[in-house]
Amino acid sequence: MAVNGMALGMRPGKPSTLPHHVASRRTWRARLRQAVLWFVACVWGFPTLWVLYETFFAGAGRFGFTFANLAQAWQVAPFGRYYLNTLVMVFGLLAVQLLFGAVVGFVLARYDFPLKSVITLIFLFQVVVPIYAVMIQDYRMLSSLHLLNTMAGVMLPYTVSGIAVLSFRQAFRSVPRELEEAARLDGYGTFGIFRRVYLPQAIPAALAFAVVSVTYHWTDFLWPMIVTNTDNARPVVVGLAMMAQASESGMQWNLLAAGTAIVILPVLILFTLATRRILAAFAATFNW
Amino acid sequence: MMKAPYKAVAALVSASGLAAVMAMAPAASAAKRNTVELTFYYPVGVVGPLSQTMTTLVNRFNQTHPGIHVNAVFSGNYQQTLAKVETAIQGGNPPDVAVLNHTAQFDLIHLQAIEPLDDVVKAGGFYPALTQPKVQGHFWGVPFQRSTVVLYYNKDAFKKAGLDPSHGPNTWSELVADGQKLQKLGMSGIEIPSDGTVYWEFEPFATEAGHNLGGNDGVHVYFNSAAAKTALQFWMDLSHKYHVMPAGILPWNNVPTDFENQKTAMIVHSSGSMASILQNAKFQVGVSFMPAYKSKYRTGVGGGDLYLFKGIPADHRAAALTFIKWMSAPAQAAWWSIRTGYVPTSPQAMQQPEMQAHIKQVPQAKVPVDQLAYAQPELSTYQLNQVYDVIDSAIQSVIDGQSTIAAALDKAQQQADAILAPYRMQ
Amino acid sequence: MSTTATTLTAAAAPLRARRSLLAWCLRYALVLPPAAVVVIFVAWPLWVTLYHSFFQLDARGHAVAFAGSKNYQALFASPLFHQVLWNTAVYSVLAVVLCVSIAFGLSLLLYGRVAASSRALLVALFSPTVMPMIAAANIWLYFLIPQFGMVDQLLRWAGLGHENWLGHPGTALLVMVMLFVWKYAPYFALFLLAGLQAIPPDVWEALRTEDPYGWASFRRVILPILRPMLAFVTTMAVLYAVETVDPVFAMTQGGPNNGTNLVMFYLYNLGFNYYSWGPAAALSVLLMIGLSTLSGLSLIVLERRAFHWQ
Repeated sequence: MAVNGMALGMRPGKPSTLPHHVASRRTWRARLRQAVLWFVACVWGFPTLWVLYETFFAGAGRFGFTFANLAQAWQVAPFGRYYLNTLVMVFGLLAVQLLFGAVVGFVLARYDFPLKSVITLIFLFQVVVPIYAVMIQDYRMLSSLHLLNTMAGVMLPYTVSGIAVLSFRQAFRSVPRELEEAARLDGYGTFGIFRRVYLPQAIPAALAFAVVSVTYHWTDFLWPMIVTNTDNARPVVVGLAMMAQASESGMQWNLLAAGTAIVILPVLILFTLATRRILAAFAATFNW
Repeated sequence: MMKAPYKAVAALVSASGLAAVMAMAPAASAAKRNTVELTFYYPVGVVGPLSQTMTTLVNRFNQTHPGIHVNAVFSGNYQQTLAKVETAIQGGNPPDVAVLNHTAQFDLIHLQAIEPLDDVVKAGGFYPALTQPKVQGHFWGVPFQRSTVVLYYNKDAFKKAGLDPSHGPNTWSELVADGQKLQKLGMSGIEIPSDGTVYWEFEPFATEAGHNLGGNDGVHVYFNSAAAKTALQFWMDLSHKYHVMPAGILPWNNVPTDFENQKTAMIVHSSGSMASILQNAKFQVGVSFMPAYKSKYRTGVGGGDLYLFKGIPADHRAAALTFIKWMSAPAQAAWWSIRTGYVPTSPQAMQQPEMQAHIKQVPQAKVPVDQLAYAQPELSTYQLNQVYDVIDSAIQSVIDGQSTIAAALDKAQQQADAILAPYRMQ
Repeated sequence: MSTTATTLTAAAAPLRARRSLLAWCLRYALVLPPAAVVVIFVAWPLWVTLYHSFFQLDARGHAVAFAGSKNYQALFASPLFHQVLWNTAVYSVLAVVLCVSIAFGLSLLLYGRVAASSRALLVALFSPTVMPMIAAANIWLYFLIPQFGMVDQLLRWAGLGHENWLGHPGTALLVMVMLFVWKYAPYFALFLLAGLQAIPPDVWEALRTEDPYGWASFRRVILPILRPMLAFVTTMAVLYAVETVDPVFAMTQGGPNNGTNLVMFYLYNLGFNYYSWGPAAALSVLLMIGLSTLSGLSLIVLERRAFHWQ
């Protein structure tokens, strides 16, 4: 599934060797392009910035800075617990998905056995079928297993990721057989070869998959909303959506803004720290 | 070259493994032995003081009742809480106690999910308007967070417009006349919320015009009665003929904000919003009855009852009954009413010294109680969520100008009849 | 010598057979449990859903009698479902066309510039991509509050009065479309950008000298090279648009007057709010057919360029 997105935009512009009038027109156009790009970026960033501004500055005089809104929102809903749940579910899933993906991908890429193509198709099937089509039945199954309102219940249908299996399989298939032969001569067993020869080759694919999996499950809403009932299992996105569901009294908009800020700030900070890496990972693996 | 990312992945995997193990561990490991753990679903906005007030109340119960621990679970708005509870029941995993719409009783009875609570209701001495009528000869819900539809008005604005600030408009025509005067101050005359479950704000108008939206049997509705058409025509006229209300669909969450910020001089809203409106408004707030039509004051009651669920273990049942009795007792009812604006549910609750002192301080809080004498039952049927969606959409399609009043209400009646037909045969 | 050799080979044959049997078992042991998870949580529920869609179900969702195509008929007889289909169609067409065109424009703007662009620019542009849809919906909810929201304040400042954007079915659906474009256009631009970068530099250089204004060469050369990627992004966008449910939940609950009731939200309501299990199963089957066809299509398109299947 690897597209050459890892080299995203790393190619520098070619130095110009054109006649002067063409070159100057080009720089003029380049500047215009840059200006348009900045304009678009401002438009796109503005709503988020506005909410962050309201969170930190609203109700604090015109130019004062305040944590009051944030603190109030944090107090009103157990965001700490929500974050813990989210981390447990997102990284728990990632671990299981990577483990299954690597092992199954390895076996499928490297060995032959009867019905291999059928089994491969099963994993492909998982990629193609949207969870929405089986949501109701999965819910009923969890209910009969008494796994409703547990983090395990939210995670269970997702534990095997077809995308992970197929990405690993793809990465392993591109490993030259000679490397394996050399390792075998050095006395490595199958597990050693898997670990020392194959796994390192799959790291870019694994990292790219990790970004996509984490993003998907961290932002997933409908399924965890249906499965969870209490704060013990609710992820942060569901908690935020609950917050927007005021009923009897009117909405306190400043709290909605602050709650949203609590949810987006960590991810924005992370994204700011590793902007290009994350973008490259997005472009490298597709997210169904 | 590959070493560092490899380690990163390894670290990620082991950290994730730890996380996975944690996820499998039982969530409530802190539970003590010999303590009955009750699950209690309730539907109020997490935003705002209501949820904190609820948490405080439940904590008080837990502190004063060793051996019982109630876990209060906020589960969305009324409609979503009902959906959650019904789904949990179907999954064979009901909560012990829940606050649900009083009107949800037909669906809950149909699902054989709740137990009658006749003894608790009779012993509680609640206002009859909150418990009547009986359904299938029983009382099923214990009144808890009950509210009425009231009219809030801006006394300062009334003074400025030359109106008497001691009372709100008494009749529909006064409402129009007052609104037109207030309009001149540069604010809207009135706002009535119309998104979401608009039937609730609408029903008192229909009742005043002559007929409730629903019957008492859970299988009949009167969506296209002459009364409903008159009431909806009046709403439309407020916007399009008298120009005292902004046209279009007004969001429930937004209307109190508009009032607090003096964008509108009057609003129709739940008495449950009183505490937060009084707290946020920087002017004198008046609360009054719904204006009458043909000299009839009417109002709708709304809000939630406490329900006890079937199929829970005996020790849970006993603990749940204790909890329900405690929550609905006069002392707690008064405490809850003072902090939220919900109606004190019984005359004894009204007599609590704390309540009396509160009413002296905030005379507005007495209005919803006085209203109970004029209150009508709220629209309540089988397939509640579906029926609500039908009437809400019909009203909204008219307000949005997509449909005529007669066409929309006739269609709604037809759809509701189709939904309720199977239940009439039973 | 020869005898030992014969015995050795004779002994080795069953040993090798046993070994390969063991190896097969091990391979199955590694591959089948994960495959079983997929079967249990995807294939089996799908089968049950299909089966249920032809049965009459009681209030608790148990099949009680064969119903033929009655569930499907009930679904299509409902005027609300017609409206939901119409909403979904309008929403998807608008959202996809706008989103893909803007993504394409963005990718052209970004081409050759990501490395040189400042971090602030990238973060501003791609912040919607990394945040949850619910958070994005809340941001827009906040942005659009009548009277107080930024949009209304701007409108008032410009003397254009105010508008309750989520208060009319038409404008509310339009808000949904805008939210979709805002959230996904930069994300899809990333893929198109990758497609642009796959074009060899000498092609660019040749085009540059021969056709400095670029329109004809863009149309004749660049667009055909990008076509598979555009097709892929478009199918993905359709998929995302049809699956939209989070913002409906957070912003409008399908209202006003069912104007933003999209097909996924309707499915949620059928199943978890109305307990119409039969029609819900029927709708699930239809969605499954539609969506997995789209997914499969995008996979095939993708495979043709990068994903070597078999």
